Amino acid sequence: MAEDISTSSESGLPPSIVAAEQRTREFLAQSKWRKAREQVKPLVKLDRARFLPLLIEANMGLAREMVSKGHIAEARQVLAYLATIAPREQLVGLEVDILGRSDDSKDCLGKFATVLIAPAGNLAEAERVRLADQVVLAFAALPAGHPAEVSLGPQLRGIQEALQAVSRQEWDRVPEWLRAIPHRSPFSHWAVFIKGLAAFHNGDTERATRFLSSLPAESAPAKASRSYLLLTNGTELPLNKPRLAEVILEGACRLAIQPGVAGLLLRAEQIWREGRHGDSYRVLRNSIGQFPSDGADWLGSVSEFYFQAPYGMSLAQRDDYLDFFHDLLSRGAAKNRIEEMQMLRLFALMEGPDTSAGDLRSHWEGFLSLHEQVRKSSSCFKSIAYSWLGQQLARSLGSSSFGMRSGTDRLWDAEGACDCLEKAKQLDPQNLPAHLQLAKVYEVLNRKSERNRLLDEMAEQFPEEKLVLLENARGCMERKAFTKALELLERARQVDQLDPAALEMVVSTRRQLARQHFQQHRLDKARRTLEPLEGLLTDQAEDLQRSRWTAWLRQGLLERLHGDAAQGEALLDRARAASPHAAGYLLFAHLTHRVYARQADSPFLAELRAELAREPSATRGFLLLRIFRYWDSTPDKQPWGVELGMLRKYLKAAAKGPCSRAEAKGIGELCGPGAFEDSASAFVRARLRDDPKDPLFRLFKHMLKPAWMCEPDESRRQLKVILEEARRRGEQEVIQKLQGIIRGLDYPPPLPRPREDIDFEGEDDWEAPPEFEDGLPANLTGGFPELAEILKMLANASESDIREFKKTRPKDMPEFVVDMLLESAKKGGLPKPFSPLPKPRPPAPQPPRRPPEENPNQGKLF
Amino acid sequence: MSPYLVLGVPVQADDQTIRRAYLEAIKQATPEKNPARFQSLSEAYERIKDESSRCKYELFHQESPGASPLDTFLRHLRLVAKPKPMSMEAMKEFLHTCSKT
Repeated sequence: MAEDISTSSESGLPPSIVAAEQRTREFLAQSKWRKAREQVKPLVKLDRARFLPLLIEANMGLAREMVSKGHIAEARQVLAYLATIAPREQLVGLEVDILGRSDDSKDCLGKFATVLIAPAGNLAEAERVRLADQVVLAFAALPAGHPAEVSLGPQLRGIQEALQAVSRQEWDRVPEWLRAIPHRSPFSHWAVFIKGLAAFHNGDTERATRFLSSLPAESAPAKASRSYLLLTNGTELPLNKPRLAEVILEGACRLAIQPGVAGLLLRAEQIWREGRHGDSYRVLRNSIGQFPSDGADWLGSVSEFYFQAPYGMSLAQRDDYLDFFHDLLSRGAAKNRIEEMQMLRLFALMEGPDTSAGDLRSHWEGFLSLHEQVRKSSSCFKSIAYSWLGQQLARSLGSSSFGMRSGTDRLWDAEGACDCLEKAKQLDPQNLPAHLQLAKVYEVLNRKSERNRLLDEMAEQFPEEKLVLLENARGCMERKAFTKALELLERARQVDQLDPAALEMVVSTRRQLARQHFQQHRLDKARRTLEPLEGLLTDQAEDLQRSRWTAWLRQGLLERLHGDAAQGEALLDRARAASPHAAGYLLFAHLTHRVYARQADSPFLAELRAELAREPSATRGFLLLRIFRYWDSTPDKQPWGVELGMLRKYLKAAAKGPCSRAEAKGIGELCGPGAFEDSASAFVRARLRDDPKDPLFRLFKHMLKPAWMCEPDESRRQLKVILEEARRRGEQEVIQKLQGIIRGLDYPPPLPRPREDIDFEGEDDWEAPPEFEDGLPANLTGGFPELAEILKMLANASESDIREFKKTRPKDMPEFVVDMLLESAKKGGLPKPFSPLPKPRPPAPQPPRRPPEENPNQGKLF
Repeated sequence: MSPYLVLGVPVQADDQTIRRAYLEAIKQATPEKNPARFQSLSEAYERIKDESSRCKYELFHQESPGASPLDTFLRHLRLVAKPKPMSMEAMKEFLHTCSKT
């Protein structure tokens, strides 16, 4: 602008005119057409050649503004004036605009056609396209005798007839009519549009997208194509231009015979995108009578979206959104049964850490009841539903042991779980997972007779089902019916040769059967029983069940104890050579010997002590701990006082050396609270020195605190802080463990139920508990072989062994019990023949379940 | 999207109907011709091929049919709607409306 002024000044115009020109240009730049026009009019009289273009520009802008506002008559007046001052070709675009907006576009058809057939150089391509669109959109024939009739008439007719053929679905006729449109025709983009429509309605999405997206951008067909392209996934909705988005979406809705929903959907979408999820749901809920629905129409799909979306939300978003539904449900304000049913399903499946077993059951059963009313649920459906509920209620609330190591689990709602699984079984006797789950629950609850009955039932119901065969084999092994167990396992292996569980069980069963034969001096039988194991063994030394060295070691010991000593020694030598290291071999041999020989000592102990005194390491410590835990978890386990002491000492020393996170984790999990608590603490401290925020080791540290230090609210708070860190690091295992523990804190297990076979009427028959002032009575040990073993060991123990025993006593054994044991051992109170214990007092009938905040056990993590 | 909609069968359809619909659909969308469609058909079939799968789907499925309400609506239309051409009068009106935007 400054440049223009100076040029004008140089041209000798007076400063007032230069200033007026500058103001005009400013008004034009600001689209202030009227002001620009008034400003420039007097200037035109002074210098027509210089200022007329400015006057034309101002009037053109004014006319276009009027057209856009719908003031067509006024626009016509401006156009008439422009016709007196501007060249004809400059006004074509404006004329097209005005005529296109006027109601009498048919009258203008001839005029447009005249311009169209004029030499192409006079018209810009965009104007030509707009003109052609107006001609087509008039949907009329050219006036008779019009100069364009010969050239454009057949083409125009071709377009109109082809569109007609599309609307009548006369697909064969469409190309026939379009043949009339040559490639260079002003209507060629209409031909492409019609081809796109035909492809779209014939399901050829790819071809339709290709045609419809190749149209001139501002043409009428291109604008119409946007709705089609939305349905072929060929375009996105311009959500930043709400009016345009609504027009396009409404077009698509019309095509799908769903007119009138575009505005509503766009509003719901916008609110959803703003993160106001409940409000977005409310928009559709309040505006559409049938919403939410479970139909196969779009309403069903969108309803489903709103009830499925929370599974993919962040925690905070999900909580807010669920609160919205919770509010509806708690006020009993569900709009219809579908809404209530979906809300209940959502609450059950999205159960949070604060959900109680009762809440879960009530939500799930509420959902099932409504489902029955709405869809007439099948018994298979209900059975699977109850099976799931039973499985949820049978979830472990964190084991009573440390870390991830399995221990004695307590279940969320054991009685509820049994009830639901029984129901699932009754609803569908073919529901195998429900049977298996129930058997597992009975096992955890130690309800042996019910479990055995169920196993028999399953054997009849599913005679060739692998899992049932394995479960039954386990039952047989517990009853020491090894031959029967082997038969079942062979059947299971016929079903699945590669099942590792079946393999391990075969190995274990054969070994136990062979040991039985060795003990009964049926040596050939014993060796024959072990022979088939050869093919099942592995060269992986870490596999304590199936590795060759542990197999040779076990057989060697059995031979040495019951059969051919020389052969036994040879096998032991082979085992030693193949073992990962001497300490591992010696510990395994020592523990195995103690189990097989049922002795407190073994010939390997002295060498083991010496070996453990050398260079302790975390790697070895981990293997030693695994070996110890392996034997400690078998039904044959012995009192391990001495071994515990040695291992604790070894691990404490190993914790001072280098240790990887995986090793520390493994050791931590295997240690747990109790005998190895201090070892675990040493490793946890070592790891936290390296990474003080490590959620896994912070959890371990927390779990290692004594129960009296765990104030429930504080524990919950600390655990939630660790949970946040675990989530941040994406440590799924730790997250799950923490969630279980937090849930366990919130919902303690119900108190044990009284046994059904106790007669509470005859309470007078109960004796008072005996008092033990002079140590334990000798006959008390008759029923507990472990106790007899401890007494025997203590009778021969040195002072240092006794000190060690005191240190390593079981966590829940009070010190005065140890003193009583020592007293009894000194008196030589060896076991006498068994005499039954005095009958215990009957437990009190179960009180109603307490709410979480009143529970005295809260905060006890172990 | 719901496997019933993907296969174009009603929610009450039995095993045979579902299988027939699946086989018919994959004839049109072979893995070579339309791998994405073939995969979605196969996944849908796996979810509802027998009563047990259908029950589990209805009880436990947690997948959202779309990323937002509008996305779900459009997905539904793309999958299900087999739009018939507009009548000539509707088409004229539609084209006029569009040309003015």
